[in-house]
Amino acid sequence: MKLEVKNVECGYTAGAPVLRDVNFSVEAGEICCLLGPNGVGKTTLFKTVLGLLKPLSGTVRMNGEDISHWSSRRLAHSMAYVSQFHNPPFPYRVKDVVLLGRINTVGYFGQPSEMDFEIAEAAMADMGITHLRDTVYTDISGGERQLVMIARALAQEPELLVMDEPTASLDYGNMVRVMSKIRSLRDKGFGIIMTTHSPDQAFMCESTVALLRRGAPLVYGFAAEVITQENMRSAYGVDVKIIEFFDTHNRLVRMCSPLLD
Amino acid sequence: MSDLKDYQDKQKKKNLDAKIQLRMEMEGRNIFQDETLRRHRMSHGGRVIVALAIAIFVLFILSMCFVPYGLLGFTMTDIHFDYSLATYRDVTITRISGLLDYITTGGSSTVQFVIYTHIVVILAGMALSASGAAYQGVFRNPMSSPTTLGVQSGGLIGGLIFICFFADSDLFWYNSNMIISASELIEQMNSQSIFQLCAQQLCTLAGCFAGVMLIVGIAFAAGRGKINTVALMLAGSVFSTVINQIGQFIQYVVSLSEDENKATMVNNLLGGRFAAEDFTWYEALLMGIPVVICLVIIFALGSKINIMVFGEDEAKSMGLNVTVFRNILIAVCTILTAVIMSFCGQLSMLGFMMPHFARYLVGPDFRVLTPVSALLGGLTTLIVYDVCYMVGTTERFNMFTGVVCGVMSIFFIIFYRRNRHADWA
Amino acid sequence: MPTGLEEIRALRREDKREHRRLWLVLWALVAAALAFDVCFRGWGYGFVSPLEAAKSLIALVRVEFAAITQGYVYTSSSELTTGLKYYAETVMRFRTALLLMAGGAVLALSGTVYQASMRNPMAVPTMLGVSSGVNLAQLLLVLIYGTSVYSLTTTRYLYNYGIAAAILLIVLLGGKLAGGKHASVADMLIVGTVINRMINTVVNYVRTEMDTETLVLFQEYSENSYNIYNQFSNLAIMCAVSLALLLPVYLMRFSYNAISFEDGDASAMGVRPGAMRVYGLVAGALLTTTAMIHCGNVGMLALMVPHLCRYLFGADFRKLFWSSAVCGALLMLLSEIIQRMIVFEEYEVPIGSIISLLTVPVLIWAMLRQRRGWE
Repeated sequence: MKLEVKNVECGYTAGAPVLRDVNFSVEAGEICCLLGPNGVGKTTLFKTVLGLLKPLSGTVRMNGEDISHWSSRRLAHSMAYVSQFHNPPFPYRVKDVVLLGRINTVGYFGQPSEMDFEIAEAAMADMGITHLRDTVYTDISGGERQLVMIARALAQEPELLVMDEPTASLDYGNMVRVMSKIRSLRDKGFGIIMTTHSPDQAFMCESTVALLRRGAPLVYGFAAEVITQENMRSAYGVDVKIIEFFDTHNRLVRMCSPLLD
Repeated sequence: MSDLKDYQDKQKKKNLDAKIQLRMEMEGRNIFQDETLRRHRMSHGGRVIVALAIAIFVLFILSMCFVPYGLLGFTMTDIHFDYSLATYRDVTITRISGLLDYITTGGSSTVQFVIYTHIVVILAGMALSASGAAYQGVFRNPMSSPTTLGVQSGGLIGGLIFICFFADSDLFWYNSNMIISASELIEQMNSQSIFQLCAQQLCTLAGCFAGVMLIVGIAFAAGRGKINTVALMLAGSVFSTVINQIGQFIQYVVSLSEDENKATMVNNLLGGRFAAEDFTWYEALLMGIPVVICLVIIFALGSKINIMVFGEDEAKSMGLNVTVFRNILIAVCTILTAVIMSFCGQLSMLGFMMPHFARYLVGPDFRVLTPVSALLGGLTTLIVYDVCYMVGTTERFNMFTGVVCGVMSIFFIIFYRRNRHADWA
Repeated sequence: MPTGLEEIRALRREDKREHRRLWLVLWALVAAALAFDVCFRGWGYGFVSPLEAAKSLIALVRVEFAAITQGYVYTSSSELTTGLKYYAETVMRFRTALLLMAGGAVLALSGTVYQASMRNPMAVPTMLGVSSGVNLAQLLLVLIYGTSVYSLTTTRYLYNYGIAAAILLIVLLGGKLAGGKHASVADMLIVGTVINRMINTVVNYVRTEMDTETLVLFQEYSENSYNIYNQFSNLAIMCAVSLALLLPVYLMRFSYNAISFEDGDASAMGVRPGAMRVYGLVAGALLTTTAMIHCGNVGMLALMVPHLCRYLFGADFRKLFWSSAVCGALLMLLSEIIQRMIVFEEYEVPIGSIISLLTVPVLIWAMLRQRRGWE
């Protein structure tokens, strides 16, 4: 599996692109973090990658094929979107929500078969939320809800997971739990694209980083190469210091700490 | 220690001020910041107010003297053109002389009832439109109005409950078509307690309060502390449908029963009571006093509504106790609606339409918006009434007002919401 | 934690058994209500014995069979009903009950589809002006045709569907124009509310102006039409129209879950929500019109039943589909029983008013309970 974004210019109206010259790629077993200040066009880029928005120029290729002519069903089969959670207006149970991930296989007029149920259950077991399957989705905590959304994406059986700020509005503990789940998914061979506001998370999952900057080309590379003092200043306009130390297992840990006035 | 606290307070205030500034700039509601712009808007608003007031006054005088009943010569049922120019002139002369006679000597003439009815019509329009504007500001929601908030439906059910269970022949308002002199009125007032005197009005008022509390409570619960527009519309719509159905059944039962008076009262409540020019001076007075007082309160609190529109926290940081003013305003608006409801019957969509029209004319500053909205409402009802009067079907006044305002609202919604930048604009 | 296939299958088996008892209770209630409704003759008249009622119904089947086969199977159809004292009465009540049950099921389903399409637990087809459209049509029919209104057949359907569809079109178009590119449910609701109020004002006024005879006619025609149109042919028309409209919804009952989520979310799952939403809106409105033509002014049922069903069976549309149909039929039947029990100043309270009154507490309860789901 390989997703390539090549020379993409994306935006809502032709002639007024939000982003220019976007180049990056994700392979199976790899995480790519999109970093960038508010309003720089992360969501627009996401919509383009997901095929919800046509690129103004350039191509998004999945395994070498241009996705701009794919049906939404085929898209949903190869990549799954984990949105920032919002409540559905009805009190769905967790198992109903996860089962919905099978809808692209089942089709408009079909009904889920025994196998679809089994896949959904397996996805729940993967994310460790089987004990929640009968609770109402709107009643569980934010971290659990994020895991449910990821389980739904897994039930789609995609090759690529696209996550929109998976740790937004989670407390520290939940954030760490969700991040470790994401790492374990990477180890299982999924390709993952995620947006985040925290450079530390990019370090945490040893990912590649695409740093979007306003009015400047995108920087793409390994986290350690991209998240540097100069790049962070040019993207966010703040001074940071990259701290490196060895943890108790003698592994190299990097952290990014802002320098306040 | 106290220095530190002072400093902290100051800092807090400063931060909040900055926040308000930022928010106003972001939302394009820059009505306090730019002083010259504000002055300009105020003077523009002042001109509009004066123009509207003059228009109402002139139209009032004109319709008093020169608009005979059935000028266009037909009623809805039978068409006959029998107004020649000569008869028209005669009618006008009779009218003017009757009017002069009434003003100078106080002599009885049909003109006086025309005057009172016109006053009632203008007051009704002003009251509903002003309360609609104030509701929109208080609830920070452009879709609030006496109609959509369930105030009128609540009033309807209150009035119907009164008519069904408490209406009694020794009550003052039982015979609504009674015409009495001043001395009789005073005698009546002395012999009856205030509750007996205003029983129907009080019931309507209670119903109105119940309605607004129910609907706004649901909308608050749905939006968790701030009003959810969709929930407001839905709850108001469901409530009014339910009440309407029950009201229709009660009307059916009462119409089939032998009691003529009750039937008249129910029909007045549902369909309006402008069948003839039978509004007497005490009705105009009893309606006028609370309406004028409430209108003055709403106009005086315009600047407070302005602050409320920006939200509770900001208003508190400006040193305004919002809750008190909000409650006062809700009470005043509800009283206005209830008064109009019990004297004139249902007048729907007026309070929904006029504030939007006024905002289109003078912008979102509530100090100007509420008076302009009120005057526009008065002007609209006056025009609709005069048209009804000329055509010869004043009893359909309530229906025509509803339809005219409804059609206007639809066009306004389409035109207005389309060009909106924010929900408020 | 289940990891093996066996555990997962065990969980599935348990899922399938989940609401079995509830279903039993529901069906028992429906049967009991139907039996009571058919046997109950009204205050002061007592009951028809269940045995005789059953005999009457069997006789009814045989008579109908004789009619269908043109006397080939049972020749002497008059003999079939001899000895059954309350035959005509029982059959009349049975027909009315069937019509009302079908109407209740159709209304409840239209509410369920509507709420799913609009992503809002308070949406109901009557909001978009459909019910006031039917009201207006019935008012016009009564004013134009007078007492001969009962003999109308095609004209009646033409007026009702025509005006309801016209108003629905105005509301959808107005909402679309008002919302522009990003037209939302709120835009349509606003236009719908305004139109609803306008028509209500007109209908209310015209009612106050009517003479007593017309008023009685209008009241009977708009509120109690199920008493008159209770022939099997009416039932057949209603069922045919509703089934045709409901078939796509039934087939898509799993997909309707997906459009309860946000549009972007749904399309990322591989479902295009636009067409399904529009179909839901139009089908819901037409279903409500169908039910209201036959059963009177009972549109509020569509608001109440989905809430109850969601409370009992959960939000899954596949379960909601069947449960709301059964609950709608049951509630309609119960309100008819209530209607026959209470009498207000010698006048029968119409079913519509009873349902409206029942709706208010259910609505408030649902609002307070479902507070979390609103955002």
